[in-house]
Amino acid sequence: MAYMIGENCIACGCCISECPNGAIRDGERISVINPDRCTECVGSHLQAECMVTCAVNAPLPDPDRKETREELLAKFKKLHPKRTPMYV
Amino acid sequence: MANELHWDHESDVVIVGGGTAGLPAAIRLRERGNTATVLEWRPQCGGSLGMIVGAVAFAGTDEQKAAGIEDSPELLARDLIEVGGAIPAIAKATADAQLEAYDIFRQEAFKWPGIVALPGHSAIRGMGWMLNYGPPVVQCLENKARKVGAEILFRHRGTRLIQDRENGRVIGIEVQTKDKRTLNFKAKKGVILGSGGFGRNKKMIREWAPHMVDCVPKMPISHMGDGIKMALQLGAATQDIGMAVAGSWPVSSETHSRCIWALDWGGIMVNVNGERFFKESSDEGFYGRMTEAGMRQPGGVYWVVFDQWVFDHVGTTQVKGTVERNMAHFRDIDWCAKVKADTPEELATLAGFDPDGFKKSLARYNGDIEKHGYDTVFGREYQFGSARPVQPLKPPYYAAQCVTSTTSFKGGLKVDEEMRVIDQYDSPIPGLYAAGETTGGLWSKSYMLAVMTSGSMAQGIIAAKSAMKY
Repeated sequence: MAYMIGENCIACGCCISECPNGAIRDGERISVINPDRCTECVGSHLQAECMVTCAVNAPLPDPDRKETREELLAKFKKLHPKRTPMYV
Repeated sequence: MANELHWDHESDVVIVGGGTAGLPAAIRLRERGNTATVLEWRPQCGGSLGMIVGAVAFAGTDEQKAAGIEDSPELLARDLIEVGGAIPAIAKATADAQLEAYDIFRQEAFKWPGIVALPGHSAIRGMGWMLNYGPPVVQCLENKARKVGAEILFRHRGTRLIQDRENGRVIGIEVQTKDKRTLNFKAKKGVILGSGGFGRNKKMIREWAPHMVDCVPKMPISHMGDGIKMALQLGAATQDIGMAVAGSWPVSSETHSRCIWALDWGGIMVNVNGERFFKESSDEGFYGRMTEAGMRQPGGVYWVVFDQWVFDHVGTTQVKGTVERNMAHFRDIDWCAKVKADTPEELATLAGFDPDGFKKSLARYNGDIEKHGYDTVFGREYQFGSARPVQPLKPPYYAAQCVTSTTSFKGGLKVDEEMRVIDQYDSPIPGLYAAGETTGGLWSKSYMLAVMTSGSMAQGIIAAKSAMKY
């Protein structure tokens, strides 16, 4: 599942700087995740970095974007063709 | 020349930053009939205040009186001077004004979640200790600011101060908007800088605190040192900026989740040689000097070592016979990348620090506690502050590799007790004020938990008063 950011986001931007895929940007009021670039940190980290770094628990798995680990890993490889995936 | 400038906007005071210092400043200005414009670079108000996880220290509150706690601004000022190493005049002014900040919340009938004791404070004065209550605190201030008619502009970043060519007075500010337009904002009575620190500006960290350059930033991404930069351009002096980066918390090198809670419950820290290097008790030294010491270990990494008892107890409190658990604290420990083993040697080998050194350190630590009741190497007696005496660590053990993160920077622009920005020759720069993390003067020795919030609010109020006065 790609992650999404809930309405309780405070727009501090910490997740923007932590995201290994550059998937997060400023929205009108809250930060927004581009699901096509979100791998739930598969290939980069043990946990979804946005969720871990968030001070207010705003990022959550998006129920409308269910993806398998394999699909997420494929996404990672497409985004970072030259990088070796970690923690797989 | 200044008169020929084209002004796009006009108000009495322009405040850079809609956070801890800026919002109270705007409220006070409006209440006294001035127009106030708050420039916030991010799409929401709050800055660091929205992210606070601890408490807000107010001294002399109704809640304290109701609980029979004796406290006063004088006592807080004394703590700031003795524990924090604050400049006395700034400490006194800040401590006096913090009750005015508290009053804003009282007027709004804000409900504080509780009152707790904090390391370094000589009275119980920490309002809060709950996770995720930064947003309601911000909301309260923002609502109040809007109610009294302050103008808050999001995605507006102050970039350059504008001076009167003849007398050097700050008369406005150049502002960059979301769509990259540059506008000139006139500020008839001055500009207040409340834009936070420079924690997101690697260039500034490299300059002022090079050993902290690799620390993990845990503050809003707008903390680029804008306020400091703009004032330096005008000849401002700095205060305590070399000790600006008081490291904050150990975080897992892999997941960046906070490992501090394991120390609160009796965990220890070792370096790559398996040796302890600081007193891990969360007392007044823990917020700054402990993790700064961590940054100075070989490779800038260290391990937080704890046992099953710690893992099972992190974040728990006894409330009237039942055990409540702060799940956010537990989750942090649960999320961090860690190894588990039954013997010290095995743990060290799995984690990657020296097994012999660690075996020795652990034996010494446990032996000391069993024999003397405390650690004789660094003098650790308690797990947290002066609560819960230390106890020996027992298998199975855990080790999480950590680096230092920082949530705020403790030094900045030199100001006087009226929050006027002081130049290199000790004169105030007319029309320029600063408050909160943008300034120095409160912390030259250590940091006292929960004062960055109340202190910044207080300083915002002082800056507002000065802008009306001068």
